[in-house]
Amino acid sequence: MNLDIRQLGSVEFNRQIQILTEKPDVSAIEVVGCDGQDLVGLTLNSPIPLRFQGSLGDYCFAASQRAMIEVHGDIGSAAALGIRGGAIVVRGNAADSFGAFGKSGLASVYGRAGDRCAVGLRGAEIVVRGNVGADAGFFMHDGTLVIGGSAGTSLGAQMVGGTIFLRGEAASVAEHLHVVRMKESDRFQLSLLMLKAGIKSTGVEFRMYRVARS
Amino acid sequence: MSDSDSIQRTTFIDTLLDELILLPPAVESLPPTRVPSPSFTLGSRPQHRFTLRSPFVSRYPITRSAKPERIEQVCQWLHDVGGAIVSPAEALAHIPVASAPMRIAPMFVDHWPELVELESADAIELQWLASASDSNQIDESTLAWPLEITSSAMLAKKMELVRQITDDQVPVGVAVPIGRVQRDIPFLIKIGVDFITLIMPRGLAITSPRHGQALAIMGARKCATEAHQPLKPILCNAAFRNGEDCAKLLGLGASGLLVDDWFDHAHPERKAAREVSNYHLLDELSRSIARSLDVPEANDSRSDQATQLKEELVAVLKRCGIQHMVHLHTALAAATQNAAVQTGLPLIGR
Repeated sequence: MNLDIRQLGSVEFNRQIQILTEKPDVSAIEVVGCDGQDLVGLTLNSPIPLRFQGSLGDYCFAASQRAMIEVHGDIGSAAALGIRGGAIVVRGNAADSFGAFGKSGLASVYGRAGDRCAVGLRGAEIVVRGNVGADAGFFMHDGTLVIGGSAGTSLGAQMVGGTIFLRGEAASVAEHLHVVRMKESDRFQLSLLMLKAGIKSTGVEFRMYRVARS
Repeated sequence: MSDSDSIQRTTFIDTLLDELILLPPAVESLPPTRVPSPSFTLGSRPQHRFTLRSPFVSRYPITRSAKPERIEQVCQWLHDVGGAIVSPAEALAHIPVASAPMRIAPMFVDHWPELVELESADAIELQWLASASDSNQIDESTLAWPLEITSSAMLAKKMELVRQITDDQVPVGVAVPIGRVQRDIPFLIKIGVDFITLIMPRGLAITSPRHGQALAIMGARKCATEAHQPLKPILCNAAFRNGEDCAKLLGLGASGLLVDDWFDHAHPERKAAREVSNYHLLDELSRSIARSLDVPEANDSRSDQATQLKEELVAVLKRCGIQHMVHLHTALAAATQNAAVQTGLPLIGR
């Protein structure tokens, strides 16, 4: 089923998506006409797959719960803010604050992500195939951040829990973070997570960072 | 503005503050009916049902040393007097529903709370303390938290996000520092905030900022009036010393007052010595107003005193000839002219 977002404001679009996903005969929805619209797909709570053709703007998919979302384009700031479940896959790049304050579920970017990626993460899994900007994992409490490329300054600053996997280099890493030797189970967990995000990897080239315990 | 102009302006404001409640009371003209309710609503849409019966609002944790039982007493007071508390839901979990006041959920704009926090709130206050209406002025390297909201456009989107998450059932306001009201207030009104909180920077003494906060409140009300929303609720997190100051701040254009700063600023030496608790300070505020008006003091019952406090404030307003809080702005204009005539000082801008 196709839905054209161009004729609808974000409020009306979100309302229609809620109605459509409750219909028993709808198995998947393809959204066309995406051209940087903000505030799309808020508090989605349906496992019906949604595919967005084009790029989206800021604050999309905030507080979504069980949604299975694929975006064939870029996405703006604070996408997947406070997600509580489901999976969001962005085939392009993400701007700042991707996956911030996520509590559960998976958010993945095939390209790069901007500053403040996974800020305040509370348990969700964030996977970025490319580079991330400054302050990634800032004030992270729980969950996993996987960075397939390099990281900017202050990686993991104020982080109090959770795990960061980094493949490339970081401009600077918070002093209280330690590189922890990866066990086979960690590598398996990483590979599984990457697989869920649609990325094949053995996890061998990654380093694992955690908060140092005194 | 030259130094002499600045001094004259400051003197005038000071005089206005002192003279405002000394205007000839129109007691004889007041009908012998019950005291009008100084209520105002925080919401701007029909579905918003947030009406305060009192201008008093407190902010959790009230003071840093506040114990749970003290918070309970203050909540009971706010509930009885018809005020509200700005607090996370978790902090009020132990408060009985019967004595819980209206709750304004605080939310830093660069943060994202638990969803239940927003859904259970009576109103939401987005705290935009590094107000970025001119983002060039913010040096992010000096901030402890990396900003998500780096422009006014992002704030507008975040507010819309909160509105949609709550199905637009809850009034959403924004708290800003008092420093740049001329730039911030028109923008906030433009993006449709339901109420505005002016934050007085903590740590400032009560003496010098009086002029600053008075000008900020007057400036904010003027901006709201110019934006054709003269009744836009403006809460003021300002420092005040006693009940007279409360009346003056309301007269200058504030709709509600956050009384927690009164605890912090008015009696820092006592607070340091831990001599008095929060509700004792509230009692003193009540007695201070009573003394200034020759109103008999309330008895020992705390709820009676809370009611008395509200009625005393209304009495102050009535002595200024103000029948209802929504009439304050119009009444203030007349009061200002009267004060200027009485003191022989020229009005600003004339």
